[in-house]
Order: sequence, then C-alpha cells, then structure tokens
Amino acid sequence: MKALLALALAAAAAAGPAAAQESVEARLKALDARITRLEDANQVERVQRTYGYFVDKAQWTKLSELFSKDATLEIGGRGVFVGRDRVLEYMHKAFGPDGIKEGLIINHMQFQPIADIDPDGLHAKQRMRAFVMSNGGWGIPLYENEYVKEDGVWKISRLRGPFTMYTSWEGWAKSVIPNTRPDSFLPPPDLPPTTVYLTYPSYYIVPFHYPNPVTGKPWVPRTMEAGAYAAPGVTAVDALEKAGR
Amino acid sequence: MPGHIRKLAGACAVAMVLGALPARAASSIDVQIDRLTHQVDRLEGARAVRKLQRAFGYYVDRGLWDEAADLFADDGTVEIGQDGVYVGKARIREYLQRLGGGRPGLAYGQLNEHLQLQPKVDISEDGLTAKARWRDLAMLGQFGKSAAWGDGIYENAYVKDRGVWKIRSLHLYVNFVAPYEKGWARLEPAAADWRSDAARAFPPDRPPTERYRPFPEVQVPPFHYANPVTGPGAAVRAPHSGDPRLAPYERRVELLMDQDAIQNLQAAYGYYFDKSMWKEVAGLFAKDATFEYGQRGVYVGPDHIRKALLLFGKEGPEPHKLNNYMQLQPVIHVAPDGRTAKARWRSVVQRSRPNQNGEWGEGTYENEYVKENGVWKISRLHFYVTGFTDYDLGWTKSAIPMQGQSAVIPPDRPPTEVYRSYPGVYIPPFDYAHPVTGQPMDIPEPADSVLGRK
Repeated sequence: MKALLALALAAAAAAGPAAAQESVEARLKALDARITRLEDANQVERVQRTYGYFVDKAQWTKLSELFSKDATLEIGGRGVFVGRDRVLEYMHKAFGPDGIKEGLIINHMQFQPIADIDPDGLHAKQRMRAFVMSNGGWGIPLYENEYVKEDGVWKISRLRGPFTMYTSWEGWAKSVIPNTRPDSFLPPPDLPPTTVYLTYPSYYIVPFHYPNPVTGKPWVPRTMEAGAYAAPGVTAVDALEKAGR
Repeated sequence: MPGHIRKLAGACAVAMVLGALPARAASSIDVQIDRLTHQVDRLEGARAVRKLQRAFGYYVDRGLWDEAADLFADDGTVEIGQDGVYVGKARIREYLQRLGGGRPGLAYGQLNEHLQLQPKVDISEDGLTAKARWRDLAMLGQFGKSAAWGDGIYENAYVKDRGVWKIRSLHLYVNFVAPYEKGWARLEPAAADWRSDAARAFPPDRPPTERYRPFPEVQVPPFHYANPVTGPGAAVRAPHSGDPRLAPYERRVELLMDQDAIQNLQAAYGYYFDKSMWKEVAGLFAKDATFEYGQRGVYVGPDHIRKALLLFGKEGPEPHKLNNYMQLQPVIHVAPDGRTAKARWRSVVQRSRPNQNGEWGEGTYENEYVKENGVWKISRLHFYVTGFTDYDLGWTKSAIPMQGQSAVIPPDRPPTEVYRSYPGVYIPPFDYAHPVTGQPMDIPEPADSVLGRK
C-alpha cells in the first residue's frame, strides 16, 4: 500500500515540473502578444503624428516614405491616389517642392487617436482627427486610416481623410469652404472618391472602424444619399428603416 | 470493500488529486508572471480609458446620443458647467441630446465638435478604476447664425465593470463658450445663473457639485492628482523578478509604463502652466534642467526656471488672463535603458491679458526627460515658437514677433538656435529618426530672407 502511494506521489511529482514548464511558456507567449499589441498601438500613433509634423513643414518626400508601396491616399473629395509614388506626386504637384515657405502656416495637427491592432498583429486601424490652422483659416478633417506592419515596421497603408468643415478666418457662421473635388487641382486621381458626401453645413458620419467600446455593437454605416437635409444623418436613416428599406 | 482495495482506491484518489492540482500553485515564476500580467492589465486599462473618452467625443460630434450614453456605467453621471448632475444612462442620453440641439443627430448647419485632448490618465493600483483630466476644445455653432469656441477641463472617473471599462462620471468644468466674433478676450462676466437652456428645461438629478464662475473670472478645476514630481507617488517600475526568462518582458512593460508616465507628466505641466501655477510647474523639473522658450534664452535649474516663469505673468491665475498652452500630439521615445527619454509635442496657445486683445499661437516642443528614483522629471524643455497672431486679425494681417532676452530676469545662456517666428519659418529639429526608413531626419532649414539663411 505504501509502495502504491509512493508510486502515485512520484508520478504526480514527475508530471509537475513538466506541466509547469509548458504552462510558463504558454503564459509568456500570451503576455508577449499583449505587450506587442501595446507597443504596436503606440507606434501607429507615432507614425500618424509624424505624418502631421511632416505636413506642417511641407516635407513631402519624408511623408511619402511613411506609406507602404501600395498604399492609397484620399483627402477631402479629391478621389483616390494609388501607390506611394502617386502619393508623393500628389503632394509635390499640389503643394510644391519640399520645404515650408516664408509667410506660410499650414499646421495639420493630429489629435484624438483611437488605434486598434488587428488580431493578426500585422494590420491596424486608427480613427484620428486633424485640426488645421493656416493662413487660409481653420479646417477639421477626420481620418479613418489603415496601417500595415512590414518586416516589423508600421506604415500607412490607407490614408482616408474626409473633411468635416473648412472655413476662412471669418469663422464658420459666415464662411464655408466647400469640399474638394477630383478636378479641384492637379494631379487628377487614379480612382473616383470612395464615397460622395457633403461637408459643413451638411455633415457625414464617417464610419467607425470599431464597435461601441462598451456594448460591442458594431457600427452600421449609414447609407443615406449625400444630400443637404434639414436633419440628415440619424433621422434620415431612422425614417428609411421605419419605412422598411 | 476489502481493506487492500480500499487503500488502493484511496491511493489512486490521492494521485488523481495531486496530478490535477495546478503545479503552478507552488511555483514562484507563476506568481511573478501574475505580477507582470497585472501591470499589463493596467497598461491596457489606460489605453481603454483613452479610447472611451475619445470615442465619447466622436459620438457627440455627430449627435449620436445613444452611442455616447452607452459608454457610461449604469450609475454613471454627467455634470457640465453649472447644470447639475444627471444620473443614469437614460437621463444622460436625454440631457446630451437636449444640450446638443434637441434631436437625434445634428441639424443642417450645426457644428458640435468637442475635441478630446491632453489626457492625464491614472489607473488605480488594483487596476479596476481610473481618473483622468482632459481638455475639451469645442467648435460650436449654426451656419448663418452663430459660431463659438469652447474651452473646458474634464475631471472624469472610470470603472472596469466585469472586464469592460466604462465612464463612471464625466465632469466638464466649462471655462468659456466665446463667440467667434471677438472671442474670449472681450467676454463679459457671465450672468449669475449661467446654466444652459437644456438644464433649465430638463432639471438635473442633483445640484452642481461645486459652484464656480466661467472666464473671464478665475476658476481652477480641482486636480485628482498631486504634483507628479514633488507630490507623493508610486515609482514607475515594472516587477523585477530576477528570473532571466521574465527579464525581457519586464523591461518592455516598464518602457510602456514610462511612456504613459511621460505623457502624464507633460499633460500635468500644461494644466499647471494654464493657470500660472509657477511653483508647481518649476517642481516638475530635474535639478540641472533647462527651460528655453522662443528667443528668450536658456534658464538653468528649477530655481532660475521659477523666476523666469514670472516673465509670463505673476504667479497664479487672475481675471481676464487666459494662458492656455495645450500639450498635444506627443511622439515619445524612451531610451532602451529606461533612464532618459525625448519627446516632440506641440502647443496650440490661447492667450489674453487684462485690457488686451486675445491671441492665437502655436509652437513645437523638443523636450528631454530623466528618471530619478523611479520618478520621471523634465530635464529639458525647449519650446520653439511657430507664431502668434491677433485673435481678430489672423495670420494674413497680424504676426506678433517673439520677445528677446529679458534684461530684468536674464537667462543663463543665449538661445540655442536663432530663428524667426511667423512670418519667418523654422523647422525644429526632430529628436528621432524617420519611423519607417530609420534614417536621421536631417531636414535642411528653409530660407529666411531676414536672417540671411539660404
């Protein structure tokens, strides 16, 4: 009997360290994934904030180097530019050579980031806003961007910055600068705008990449037409939903 | 049951129990992993809190009152200005909608932007609650009728409820809502009863927590925290087990904690600076730290820095003085040894002095930090002025030049670099390499016709 008990105890002890070893490795692997995700989210924020610092001082070449090779860029209503080379061409043709000129302020300040790393750890999405302070006045674009991790380096893969409002120094009660169009200035885009929407005094709800952080309810993009309604957005969609469409 | 079989059954039962017991209960490395995991929980908590508050802003911007109210705990509260306290999600939802125009979504021509900025987030030691100070920069109005800038400070609380972070209380101390025409410098003192129309029509569940008056009168929203450097506070340290298997993870966790601590430190700097709290500001600097603002030259050491701050006005807030230096857009890099750090920030400045017009300004910080006994301090504050302009006239008509070195409180050293602010241009050198190419930035300075720079 004692021999049997001794055998049982020995068996349990032999199983012990081996089970603990596996368990430690698994725990560290899980912890590594969580730590990496935090580091990645910090880096995605740094990349986008650096984008803003480059725009401020017209550093178009360095800005284009933040993009992956096949990245796309869509700002305002200008349509889509495909590929890093076209991103640089867009900046140079539209805004001139690298370097901020005397007498110019073109601050595109990057605020309020919500960065989420995909489960694969190689892609990310970020909602962010720009606050523009320039000689021309004020502007508030909104971003829903995508990023890719290539060889350990985070890059912008999709920069999408629809405008909320632009106005002159007169202010937004008096002055509205309408959205840009594919033909607003050269160069022309590679693809038409992904969405047609109106800016202030109308508004557009830029779809959220994330579900509600508390309820987990995913965002259902509103499919309303881009019109200047008396009360667009939520009310128009509610009416359509009630009509069973 | 025969005795020997009973004993065999007993032995087997013991073996099964022993085999089933988690061997880790006795293992010290698992305890160490638990401790490290707890700090990762807290880091994720801080990130979740920042996401919650920013998501709140984005929902309010578009009149998504349901989604905004859903971010609150069941017993959550909202308090804005002197409107009083609204309790529970249904009441919060109704109040936010009434405050935001009275309908789901926005009206045609309505602007309701509430930028959520400058977080100082503190997670409790047990990782289950948090407090945060934020700034609300608002752009409000109705096309054809009105436009206004808003400024306020949040002191909010958050709770982790069954694994999900929620807003426990949102308290916005409204500093001003100023008409776009003429702005904050020409605000008259508010009426005795400055509640919103929403609160008058839809009274709160509880009266205001404290009474205060908006700008141009003085208000200093209470701080949920003591001075991060001079006050009592926990050292920023990850667990240190001594186990080589854990060491790399412990280092990475501590660097993440350092990153958050520096974000908090600089946010705290801004909140003190806004209210001319020079003693608290100077207290954030390390022993041989330097302070350099524009072309005023370099001040060395906290005592001399405290003196130099008087160049921005006397200690403490005063009526009609606005001194908002927002602390924004941080790119923080902590050195691998975790002892020093550098960061690029920017500031949007809203200023006014008694009997003077308001000013907008903007600038870039290139700062350095040092960690002493687990506490992060500012070792170098260098603010490059981009420009200042008169509130009414704007950049095309008004460029306010930088001040030079003071004769009254002279600096210890001349400016590190000589440059002009707007309409001149200067690119404050980056402390960090290109995030993608890894190359040093090495950006040539643009031409300046006055300084003769080509």
